[in-house]
Amino acid sequence: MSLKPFSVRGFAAVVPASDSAWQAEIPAHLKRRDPRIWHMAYVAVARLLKDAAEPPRSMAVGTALGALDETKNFLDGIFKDGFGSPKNFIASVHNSMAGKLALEFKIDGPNLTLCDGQNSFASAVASCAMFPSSAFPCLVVAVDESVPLVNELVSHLSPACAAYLADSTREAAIALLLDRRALPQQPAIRAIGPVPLGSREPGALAQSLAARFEDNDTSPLVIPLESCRSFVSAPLLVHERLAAGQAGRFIVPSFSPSSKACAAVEICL
Amino acid sequence: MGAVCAAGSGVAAGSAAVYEGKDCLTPLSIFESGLKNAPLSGQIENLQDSYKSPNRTIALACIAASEALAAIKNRQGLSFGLVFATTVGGITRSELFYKAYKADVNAASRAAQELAYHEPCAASGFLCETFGLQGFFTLSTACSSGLHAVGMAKRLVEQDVFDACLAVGADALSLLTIRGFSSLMLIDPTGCKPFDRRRAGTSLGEGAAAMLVASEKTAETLGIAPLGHISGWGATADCHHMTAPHPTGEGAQKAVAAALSEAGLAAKDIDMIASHGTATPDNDRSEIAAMKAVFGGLPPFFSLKRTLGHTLAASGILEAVFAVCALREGVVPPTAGFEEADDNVGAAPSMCRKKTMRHFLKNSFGFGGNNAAAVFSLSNDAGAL
Repeated sequence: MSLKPFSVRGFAAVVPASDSAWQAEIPAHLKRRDPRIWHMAYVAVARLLKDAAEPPRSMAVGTALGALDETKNFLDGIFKDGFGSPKNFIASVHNSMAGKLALEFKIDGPNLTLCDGQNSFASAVASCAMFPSSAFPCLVVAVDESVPLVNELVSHLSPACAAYLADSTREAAIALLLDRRALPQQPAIRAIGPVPLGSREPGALAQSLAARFEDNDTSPLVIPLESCRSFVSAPLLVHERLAAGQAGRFIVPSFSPSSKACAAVEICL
Repeated sequence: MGAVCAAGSGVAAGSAAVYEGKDCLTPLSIFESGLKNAPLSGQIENLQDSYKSPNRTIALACIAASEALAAIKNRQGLSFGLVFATTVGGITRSELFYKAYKADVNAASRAAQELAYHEPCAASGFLCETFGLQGFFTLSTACSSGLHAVGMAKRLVEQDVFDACLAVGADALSLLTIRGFSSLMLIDPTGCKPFDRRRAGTSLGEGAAAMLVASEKTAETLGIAPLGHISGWGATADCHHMTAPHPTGEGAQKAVAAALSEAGLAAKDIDMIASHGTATPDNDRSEIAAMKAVFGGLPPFFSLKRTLGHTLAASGILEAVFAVCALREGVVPPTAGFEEADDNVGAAPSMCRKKTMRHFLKNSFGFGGNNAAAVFSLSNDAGAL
């Protein structure tokens, strides 16, 4: 199997911890109705597409928990008042966010939502290979938010979850515009979707996945797995590299404790 | 192929109920919904789980996967992947935990064990471990998920990512979905009536289905004869409304056109449509409008929602499994629950009848305007079920 790379035609991000201005970019018609995680995704995509020469024709969204807070709000309504709000229910469905982005940005091609925990970004990038050539450029969005209920339960969760919650960059929305054609002077990205650990340790599996990107002469810098703990660490690290624009080949692995699986993304600049 | 649903455990049991047009809905009893009247649902009352699964969705998925893999005696040296589709993931357990936590904060001490399988991908990991699969994708596009999983499995095999790929769709009935659909007033308390003039909503169900997708060469290596051929897959977004379908089903039309194009077939080549047919007033009308735009005169079509309930992420693949059986048997299944034609729909589902067929179309549509369509065909060297 050869892993064909995609050209990265553009990238953008919303990182609430370091970006106090992002909420000012939420359009008025979305502000009151939609959940915060949708706002994050919307603003990241709007920033990406502001100067895009060609609009996306398809979409792959990677999210671990989706709008989990909306699930909680819906259940709160049932347990407290005996009635859950339909607005909360609609938003609680994992792919509603992708439907909303399609609606707002008029992206009428294939639209998939991948829910692979910390590996969701790698899954989303890898799944673009399943779209027909007419579906490009393709929008990839990786998004997760900090959920108060989960934070509340942190001390009772597993050590792996506790480590994730200690990560200061645990919420972000990252948007990429990918093309199937190799475009000169453009960064390239490719990914291996989740591979179960089996009897291996996460670090060893991550190294072996990195070795699968072998059809390239340049030695890569493999980011340590310990730096990629949160749901959005991998896409954030990729975004950092794209923003820095420094030439090189970087491999960003990820590990999901829930599925006991690793994935990896390679970026070439 | 493998299946478990209200119509029975196993493809043979389910198919028999489908050909008969059996109504398998019963008043919801597997948990307390809190609704005034227990809605008629496609529930599995005595679920036999020999996998010690951590939640009900995983138990259903394991039963279907196990049946789909049962014929494989030796797969040494071949890589098997998984595309797993679910809408609710581990919510059946999480919502019980959350209720207990709301009542008593000390329940938090159980969070690690109760929430460990909440994420949809936890089921994928469990399936890989249980059945020795080498890689996976976890897909969640609401009610279209299961059919997309089949399409993705097809691509993964075509692109040599895996030698064979198991597509699985599974969803258990949950408080979240029963009350969620109820809050949207999309549940018919008297049971769904697809395409019927009196239709007033859907009926939810639970279940799982699996299809093992492989190239002809791999099938030969495995010593199994194909049961059918996945000829084409189409995926689109409506860009119209978050829950309501486009009135003329524009997105659905494009998904069907894409599936037909990939299959290298014209509309006239399709012998039967396994519709989404949820029995909500808007969905059925929109689906038929879309099919008329593509086909002109419609081939025989049917809906299985009254037989199985709407099994959400499982529905696309579960109904496709039974439609593959129907294709092979030359039977167009009846639509349980349908009695009176609706002039606003302008088409009536087929009565059960025998027909020589070669290709059928399966539709699945989900929240957020997500559309999936796939064309399935008879294989020339089809094996026994």
